[in-house]
Amino acid sequence: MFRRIVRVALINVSTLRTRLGSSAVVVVGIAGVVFVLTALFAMANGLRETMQSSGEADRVLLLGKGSRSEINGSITRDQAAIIAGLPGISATRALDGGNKPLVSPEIYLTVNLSRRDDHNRAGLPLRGVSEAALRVRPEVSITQGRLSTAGQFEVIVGEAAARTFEGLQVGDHISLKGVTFTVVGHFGAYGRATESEAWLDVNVMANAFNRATMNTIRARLDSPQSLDVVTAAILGDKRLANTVFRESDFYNEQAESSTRLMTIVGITVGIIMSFGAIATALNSLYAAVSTRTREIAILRAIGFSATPIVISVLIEAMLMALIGGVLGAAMGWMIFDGIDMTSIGGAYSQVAFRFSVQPELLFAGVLLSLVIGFIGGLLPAVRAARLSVVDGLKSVA
Amino acid sequence: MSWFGLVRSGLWRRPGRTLLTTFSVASAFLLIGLFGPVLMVFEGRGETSEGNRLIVQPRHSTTDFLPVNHAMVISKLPGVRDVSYQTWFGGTFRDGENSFARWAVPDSFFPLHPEIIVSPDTLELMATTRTGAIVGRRTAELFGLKVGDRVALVPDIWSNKDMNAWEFDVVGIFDGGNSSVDLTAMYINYAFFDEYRAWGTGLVSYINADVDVGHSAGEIVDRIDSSFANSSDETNTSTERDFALGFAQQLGDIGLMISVILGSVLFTMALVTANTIAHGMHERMAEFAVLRAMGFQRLATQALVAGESLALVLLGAVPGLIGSALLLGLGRDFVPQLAGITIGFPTLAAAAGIVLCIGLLAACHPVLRLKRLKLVDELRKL
Repeated sequence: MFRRIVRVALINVSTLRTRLGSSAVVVVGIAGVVFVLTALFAMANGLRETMQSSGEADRVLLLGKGSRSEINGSITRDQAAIIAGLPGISATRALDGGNKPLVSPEIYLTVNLSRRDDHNRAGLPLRGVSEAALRVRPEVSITQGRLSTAGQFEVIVGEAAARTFEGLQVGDHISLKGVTFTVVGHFGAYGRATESEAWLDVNVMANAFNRATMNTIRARLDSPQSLDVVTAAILGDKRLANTVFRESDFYNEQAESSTRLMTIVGITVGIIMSFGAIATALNSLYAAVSTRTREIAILRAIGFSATPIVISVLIEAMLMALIGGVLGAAMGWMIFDGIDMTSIGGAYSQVAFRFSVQPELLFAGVLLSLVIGFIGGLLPAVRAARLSVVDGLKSVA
Repeated sequence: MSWFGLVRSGLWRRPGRTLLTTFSVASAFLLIGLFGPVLMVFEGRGETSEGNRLIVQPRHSTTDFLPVNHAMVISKLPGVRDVSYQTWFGGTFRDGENSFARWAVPDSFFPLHPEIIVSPDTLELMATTRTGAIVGRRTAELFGLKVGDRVALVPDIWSNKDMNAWEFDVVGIFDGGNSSVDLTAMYINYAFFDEYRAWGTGLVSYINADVDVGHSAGEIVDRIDSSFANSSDETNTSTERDFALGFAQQLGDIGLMISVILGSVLFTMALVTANTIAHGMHERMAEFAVLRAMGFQRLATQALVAGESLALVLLGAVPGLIGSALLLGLGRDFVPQLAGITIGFPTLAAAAGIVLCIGLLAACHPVLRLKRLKLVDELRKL
């Protein structure tokens, strides 16, 4: 039985050459589906990876009451001081022997600058920080120039932001709200979303932008388990009403919300294109079966059962699909993997990320192509098996 | 038999094949209908947003505010007819996942936006109810809100002077005069909001202005922006159309992604159609020879092939585009960003162009074969 299946399949494949045109159409159709899906999901994956890599389990964000994003909400300086003393918040020992809490109260706002690639104005997240920001975020380090000086109109710019926007090289000047700032350094953060931001002194920012209060506080926990202690302490203090997020959860949520639309688009496009490809495969394989009517009838007449014939048609379909799937996935990988792009991260600000084509994505693409091939081959295979031997032999090929 | 009759019988010769090809083509046009309008918006050819109404926002930031006094200054500029303003309220409703837009607006907002359809009685009620709110049809239906209901919003940006949740009374529901209206939005009274907010009195998100007849939008845009140049609150004025475009462009190079999708779709569709036509015609060369022998001109047989090819693409295009119009309508109810994205004239024109191109392209090969057709050889095959 098995040998028969192999033999029929071989005959089948050997005649593919004569049906090159319509087979190529099936291959290209399926390659198109896999190529487009690889591109769309590589974009969503890249953005998701950047966001997810940006959060730490032992850091918390404290936002204003009711706030779910860093841009909204207000926290007074008094409240920030209380938070620095809460149990569960970590501290480092300072040179003078006292404790320096790892708490960084910050102002966060997006400002509009021209993007380099299309000169359109887009949002750059601007963060007002004190020296505590660097103690809380050890992943941030200066890659070029120097740190900004407290009290000066100086900004440091993340590597990704400097790539995305015009006029953010070290030494450049930017004018915002009638105030001129000088770019004095660039910083890196291992490709995290932080690299898409620009930082300046929190007091300078408060004055320039008329902000009396902070929007957001970053703090290090004693350990990832201390989140509950901090949350309980905030609930227990009448002077505080902050929403607390574990930093990794916060970025995971942002990753989900900013990739949701891309995922919906990807799935919609995938379904529609797959149906189109299935119709193409059906068409081509019905035609293949009808040109092979006589050959199939002869096989049946000399004693082959319907099974090897059904299987041989399915093999042909899935072989074409496999070629298409591999071709589409390979093209998607070659063209899109590692491409730099920016999109909206949160609060109308640009976040830079890199397209990411993972092995799972390629595998899923090839798997989808096989499913399309199977569905597209099934009905023609059944028709081939049901062909009347007598009619088939009578027909002139 | 008429020419149309011949085309029809040609298409119906193998109904299965025609149907499957139509299906492939329809799926391609479904995608063209879905993404074409989005691409039009990205290229600044949006179909519904106002080109003669201006939005003024802070130059330095999309999320910061302007002083409301700017509105008074703008209303006195020559060439500006009416002025209004709006402040983003934000806040969370019920479990916080319901993020429909909430704006604080003065009475002058509605006359300036006639596409927001709301009855004069409701406007009267809104003007006299300090805590009044007008809710979009979509949000009202989704949350079962009706006139007289009380809506509580927990603030995120705008704490009020008592540091509690804000409460509003629904005085009316609004509908949309065109697809650019966000039916999920909610409007509250600016006067009440401004008095009761804990900070930021007199700050607005956007100022809306109407260009008077006889003046161009570009001229007024420059006039407004230069009035505030070199102040600490510089403005960035744009037409509503460009404003929507600016938002879309912040999404990144979406245009590129859409081009990738549509490019692949068009390429595949061209191949599929060409293959079906070529396949069908290959089987029928002898029939064409008979037609020629009966006295049909060569051009007539070639026109037959082209007609059949065009008809095949058209048969797929029409249901595909209808499908995408339905899907877009359905999507608009759930994704407010789709407001204003409709299949209008530019998309239809592009679709018609694609039908012509693909239809004729697919007919190329068989038409050339018909030119070289050797009547005797083909007739001998019969």
